Amino acid sequence: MELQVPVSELRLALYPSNPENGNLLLSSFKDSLLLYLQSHIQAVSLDGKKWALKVGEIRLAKVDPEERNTIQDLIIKIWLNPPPGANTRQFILNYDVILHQVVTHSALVSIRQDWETGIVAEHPTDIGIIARDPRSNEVFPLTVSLENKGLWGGFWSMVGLGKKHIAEGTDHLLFLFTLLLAAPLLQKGKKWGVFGGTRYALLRLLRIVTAFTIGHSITLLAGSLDFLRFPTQPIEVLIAVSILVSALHAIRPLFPKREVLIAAGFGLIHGLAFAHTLADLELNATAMTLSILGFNLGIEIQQLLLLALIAPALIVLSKQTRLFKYIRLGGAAFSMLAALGWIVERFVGHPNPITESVEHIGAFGEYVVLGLGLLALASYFASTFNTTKTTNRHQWKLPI
Amino acid sequence: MKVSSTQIKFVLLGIAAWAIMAFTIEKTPQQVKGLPPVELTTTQEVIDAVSAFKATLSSTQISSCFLSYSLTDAAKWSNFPIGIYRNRIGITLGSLSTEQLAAAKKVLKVASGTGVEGYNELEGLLAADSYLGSNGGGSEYSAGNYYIALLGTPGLTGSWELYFGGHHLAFANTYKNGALAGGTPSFRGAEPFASFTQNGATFQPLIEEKNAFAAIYSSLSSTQRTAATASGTFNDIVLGPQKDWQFPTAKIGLQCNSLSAEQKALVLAGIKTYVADIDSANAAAIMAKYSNEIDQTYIAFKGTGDMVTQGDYIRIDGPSVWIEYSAQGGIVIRTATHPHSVWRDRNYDYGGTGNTTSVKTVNAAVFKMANFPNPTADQTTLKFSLPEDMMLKIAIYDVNGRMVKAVAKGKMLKGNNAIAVDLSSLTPGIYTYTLETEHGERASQRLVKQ
Repeated sequence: MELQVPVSELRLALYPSNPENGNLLLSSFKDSLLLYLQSHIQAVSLDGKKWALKVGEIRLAKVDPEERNTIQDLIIKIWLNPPPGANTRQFILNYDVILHQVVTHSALVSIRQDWETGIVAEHPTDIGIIARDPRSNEVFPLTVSLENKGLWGGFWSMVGLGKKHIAEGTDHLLFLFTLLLAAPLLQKGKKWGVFGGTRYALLRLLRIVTAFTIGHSITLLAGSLDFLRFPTQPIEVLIAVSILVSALHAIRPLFPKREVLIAAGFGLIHGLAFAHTLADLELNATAMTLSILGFNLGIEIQQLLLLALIAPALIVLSKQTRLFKYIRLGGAAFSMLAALGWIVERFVGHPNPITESVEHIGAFGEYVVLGLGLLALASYFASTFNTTKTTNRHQWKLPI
Repeated sequence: MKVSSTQIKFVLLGIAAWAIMAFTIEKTPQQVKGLPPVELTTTQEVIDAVSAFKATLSSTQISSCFLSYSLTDAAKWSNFPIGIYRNRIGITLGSLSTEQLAAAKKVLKVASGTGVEGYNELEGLLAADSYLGSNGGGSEYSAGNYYIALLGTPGLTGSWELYFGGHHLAFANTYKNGALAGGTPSFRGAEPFASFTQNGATFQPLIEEKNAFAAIYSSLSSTQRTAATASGTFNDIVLGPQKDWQFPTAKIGLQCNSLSAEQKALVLAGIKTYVADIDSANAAAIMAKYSNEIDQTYIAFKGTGDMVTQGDYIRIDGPSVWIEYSAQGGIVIRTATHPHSVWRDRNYDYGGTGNTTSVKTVNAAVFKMANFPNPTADQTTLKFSLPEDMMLKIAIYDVNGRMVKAVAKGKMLKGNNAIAVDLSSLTPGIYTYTLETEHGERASQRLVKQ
């Protein structure tokens, strides 16, 4: 449990004769504060058994210098340990920190993470406010009741998390799309040639996606189990670089016939980023194993969904050599620009106009896919009226 | 019996006269029993000003400003700026043209008192927000961010409310059958609290309130001060926004029947700094009532009594009146404190809407309520069964209906539930344990402590 306590109210409750200064409070009153917290926070099972409590780290929250009217907060880590055999999904929280004295104080309680019900750090759920009941002036203890979804509940929520991770990760989406742009085409010298046939195209698309999956599965497993831990920033930069490289590859073949290896290699990098999401959850072995499986399954489902959406369009469009050239080059140029934007953003640590506009466009991802599909449909009908040209093209079809 | 034609003529004449009278009376406003006509005049003035204001608005503006009456909407006021509280209703003063704004202010003016209170105080508080906006607070703070709305159909019949609210001022004037049924809840706060100049004019709103309360405190003897001291620390008011109809069951502090006539007059003067915010005729009627109830009214203080030090607090709690005033840390101007205060009426907030405690008693069998063991010594287990996951408030009351133990509040899961409760702090006797749902249903089960 983590408390975020405003210094102003804590001072009023405990040290009213001292100035409102978080650092001073921490340096002079840390020991008394520890004792105070221990006697004003208590978790009890519904059957009346008390949970053990340990106060961990106490520190001052970082204050964002750009924010106005900042209020200094103390961040306090509390460990609550249920007695053996106790239900960890339901307990009563007796809490009157500050409230024992400052009757107008209130504390918002939210669940930051619950594996079984799929609540994760980015989306905490409010469960209640602890305050004095105005009518009686009493503080009601708060019941914490989490749904019992068990291991499978956790598994499915991780599948959902994996799907969301791909669906909402503009960079992963763009990477996949860029990697697939040139897949249906044959190589002609140092340039991309023409459509290689439906079977050729489909096989190449599948191979690339599978290789990418194998790559990220390996590092996701290793990273989640803490065999490998890389700092986030370089990985994020590398992901942006991988988009840049695949964009260049979509313009001119950079690594002919080794796309599968390259896709696997980039998969390794992307997997490390996925691993961060899971490693941060700090789960036990069983839950972690199920999470990795579930999370990976979610990623896979979402990727295949995406592939099913864009592959037919790519195959149909790539038959139109000239039209597809513009689509491929246009797509690659957009990806390059986005990748460069991300590289800069991830180096300096704050967004720039390029990445901001990419995020805006990313929100319209469905329309891009829809547009691609419509274009494919149009070109398909156009080509059936002009059969002679298409039969000519079939001569280029080669076995792979 | 023979009826002469003269008699028939008289009867017919009588009917005609009666019809003419009835017809003409229909045309004049119906007078409400027991209220002096002057209050109806005020209501009519407000109605006329509202009509004139409505005539200046576009149909889109009318549809967002003129709403149907509901307590849910009426309760949507706050002491937070618009960046934090976004649920206010109606249209903002900032969205109005010069002509529309003048018409809106006319409405506020006829509904408000004169002198340093009422409309002038309102202008001062609006100016304070604009001052904050240009002195470090940003665009969230502005006189333009105050909302005006009319709930229900303004007229001499039925219920309707003039809603006005923004960061540091909110009121809910509720009219019923032509009379002002309540001018509360009425919130006032002020930052900056020191005198300030905005657009060439100098203001210091709420200084009269602060002075009146400080005067009450300084008139008290040390024994009276001790008796009036509230326990705990106050860093805000207790019955702020969204705390409607939650008046404490117990009064705290010093009962005014023990005060001298001069001291009582000081308390009434303090009350008047809030009541005088509404038009003078209605204010006089309400003051008369509060004055009659002064002996049953309590005052409680906390802090230094100068009413500007952080933690300074006063509560005036009577059979009807409820006033709280609290000095707390500055938000935009961090070097000084600023007050929050509220005037409520224990019976006539929102004109009385929502007053009848909407608690519905349901049979304990619905929740299969039981406790084991019963009778019990120090420890018992409360048992109940829920048809679905529910937000519950569980408490134990004594035979006088006084809450003696707050057991728990929050979500409980569907199915059978059991909560162990320690009763060692209770004296032996008969109690009830009560489940209250968030929909206002209440079920009770008898519990005996040996």
